[in-house]
Amino acid sequence: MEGNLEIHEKEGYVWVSVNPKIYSLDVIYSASYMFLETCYVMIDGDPMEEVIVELRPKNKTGLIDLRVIGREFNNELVNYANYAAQCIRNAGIRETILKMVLLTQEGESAKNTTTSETNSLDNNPKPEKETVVTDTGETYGKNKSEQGKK
Amino acid sequence: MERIKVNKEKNEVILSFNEKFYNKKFIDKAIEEFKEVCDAKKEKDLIFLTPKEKVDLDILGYEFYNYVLGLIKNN
Repeated sequence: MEGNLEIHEKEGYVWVSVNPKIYSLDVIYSASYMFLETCYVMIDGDPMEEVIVELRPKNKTGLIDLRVIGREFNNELVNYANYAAQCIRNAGIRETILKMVLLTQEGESAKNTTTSETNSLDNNPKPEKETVVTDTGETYGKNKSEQGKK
Repeated sequence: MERIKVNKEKNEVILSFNEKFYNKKFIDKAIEEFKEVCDAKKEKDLIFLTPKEKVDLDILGYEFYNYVLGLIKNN
């Protein structure tokens, strides 16, 4: 055992012991996900006490590489734990910025709607009533003066 | 932790998942999406995968495990 790593060189995998009180399950999942391309990953243990992550390289490697993989995993845990902590810290600011952006957009879309409605009225005047001529020659509509003309 | 067992005689790989980390709905979804590759049977807490074509049974088991983890992370 080297720190939190247990290397199984013959079998070709490394176990990483993770303290779930330090690294949340989300962080463990995120770190594990980064290794899916190069390793087969299995998670076991007890999420309240000790989480064991097995990393088995897809291409068989030696002792040194297993150690490197385990240490790289530890680095990813720290990376994502830091990211998660920053997200929590910045949550308030992020929400404020989003609200401001949404309010600005609502204001702009309201202005655009008013402007477009005015334009449409100017460009498309109401059509005049049509003149209807019946079989009897009577006309209805605007141009009654044309009654009887054919 | 022996979560993947190969039965060469029956041409199947037997998987067990720690439910504290692997939610059943993602396992079921993975079974559904692996339908073209293998037949799956659930018995108690075990999943039996029988490949439709000749594949390395170990690899099938590991790939299935990875797939479930991918589903969990992407959800």
